[in-house]
Amino acid sequence: MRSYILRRFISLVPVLFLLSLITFGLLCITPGDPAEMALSRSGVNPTREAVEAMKTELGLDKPLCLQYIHWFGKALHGNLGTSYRTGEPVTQEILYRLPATMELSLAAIIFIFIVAFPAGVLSAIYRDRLVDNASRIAALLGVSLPGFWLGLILIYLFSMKMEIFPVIGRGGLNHLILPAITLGSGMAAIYSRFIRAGMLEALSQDYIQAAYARGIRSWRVITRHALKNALLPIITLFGMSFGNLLGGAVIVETVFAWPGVGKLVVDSIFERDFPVIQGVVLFMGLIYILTNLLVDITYTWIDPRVRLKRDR
Amino acid sequence: MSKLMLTGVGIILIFMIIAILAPLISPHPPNRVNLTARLMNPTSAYPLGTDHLGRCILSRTLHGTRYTLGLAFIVLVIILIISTVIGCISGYYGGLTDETMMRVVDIFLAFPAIILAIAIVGLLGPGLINLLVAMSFVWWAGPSRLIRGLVLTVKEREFVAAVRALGARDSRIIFRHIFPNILPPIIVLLSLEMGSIILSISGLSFIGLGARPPTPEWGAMLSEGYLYMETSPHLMIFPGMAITLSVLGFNLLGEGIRDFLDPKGKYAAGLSKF
Repeated sequence: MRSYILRRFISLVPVLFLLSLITFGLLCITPGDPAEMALSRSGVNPTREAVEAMKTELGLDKPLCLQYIHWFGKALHGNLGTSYRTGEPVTQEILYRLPATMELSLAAIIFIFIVAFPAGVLSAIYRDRLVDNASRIAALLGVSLPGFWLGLILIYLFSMKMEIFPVIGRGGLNHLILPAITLGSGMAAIYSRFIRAGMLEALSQDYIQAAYARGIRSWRVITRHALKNALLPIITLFGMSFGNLLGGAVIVETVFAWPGVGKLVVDSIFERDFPVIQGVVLFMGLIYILTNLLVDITYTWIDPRVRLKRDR
Repeated sequence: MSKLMLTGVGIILIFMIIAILAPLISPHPPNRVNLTARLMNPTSAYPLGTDHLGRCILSRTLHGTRYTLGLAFIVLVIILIISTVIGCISGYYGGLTDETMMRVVDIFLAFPAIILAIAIVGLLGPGLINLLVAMSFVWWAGPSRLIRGLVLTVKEREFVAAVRALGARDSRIIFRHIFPNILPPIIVLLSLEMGSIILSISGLSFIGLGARPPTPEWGAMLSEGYLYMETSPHLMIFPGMAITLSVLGFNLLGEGIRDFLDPKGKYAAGLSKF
């Protein structure tokens, strides 16, 4: 197990290297001369001498690979530059907005599990019956609905017409419900089908027949024996879908004016605040990669079959 | 063909016909402004009502089919070209080339694609071309790996050995002999991505990063319409329904294909990007 974790950590090195390359490369594709833009932002007339001086100051006269090493060294210390818009350090801006995004993602995950588990398990038990068909249609609709449109419809129905929930912004639990449903709906649909498939696979195994034969009550067989095994693929799926959740958050936060990292990146795009855009990509990439690492390790740790195979 | 798949194919065909006939069947030009008829509810002259500039929502939604589905199709073709080239080279030559390319693919797959896409459009500046560039840049990795797998199975077949024995060059073997054999499964596999691509295009347009108003793209229409949601909900209902229905069509087709290829349902529904 320990050697597996070690190997997994080593395999992170190229991924993190490419992540840093992509993030650094993003700034190279931005149109316009950064030195000139820095000058005009501070209100200095961008004459040729001033631009040259600024280039030297920003290190832009050095070769790209040196610039990268310089940038990478600063990034390792958590220094991602300062926001053009607010003048605050980018890291601080992101850390300030991160709790809101985490809160929203966590609420969405809770929603996903509340919906997907009963739907998936019941569909598997009552395969090809009414419950299964209804949940299949609901799942197809769930993955086909654009998140932002679902959000708008929910706002229209529950905030404007029935006035049950507040329209936008962050606050108590009632602010959280609509955005969480919007963010989670697509994923809930996918999870419910995966749980169904995992349950069907598990229920067809010999050990389930054996459990029944031993006279264990069917509810216990389903929850303790089948569900436990059906859960394993879900852990992997969770790692894969976490990126979708972060991506979806960008749009959901825009719809609900939720003050998270997603809203920050969209606002920064329209303000041409490049360091913040770059910083968010690096941050989101890091979170995503670390989540997947955690998922892989958990998976190996939970399932002894995988653990033994990998240790060999 | 199952009922699901048939329904999906039906929906897709209807949207394709609408896209082709849009100028003929629209009651008004999509961008004609009529300030005397602003925010009107559905009437006989404007079957789905009008927006805040008095433009016909039915005509705009019909024309939107061309933009949204057309853009999704272009992205699909670009992805097809990139991933075919990479998949073929990787699968055919094997060895170090294959190893290197697949590691790069791994890394791209280990990255939240949509965030990268948003960042690229954000830095290049919002707009349709940049949206196409960004989406193709983040989407090629998965299909490349699938195509590599297909090439691996085909290149072991006897006819490839026969062509090679005849002295054909590698490029000829790949593009004249292997490629035609893997094209049908590639098209099927890529059609599964259409739903996600449509959702991403309309989503990015909605937040203002893709098509911009007054383009009658569905996501862009929604981004204009939602400001008037409280008094005129029809502005956002119809473009949203169009997106949902078209994505549903492709997802139904995908479900049908998957049922056919994987009758036990082991792999269930696909992963949508949004």
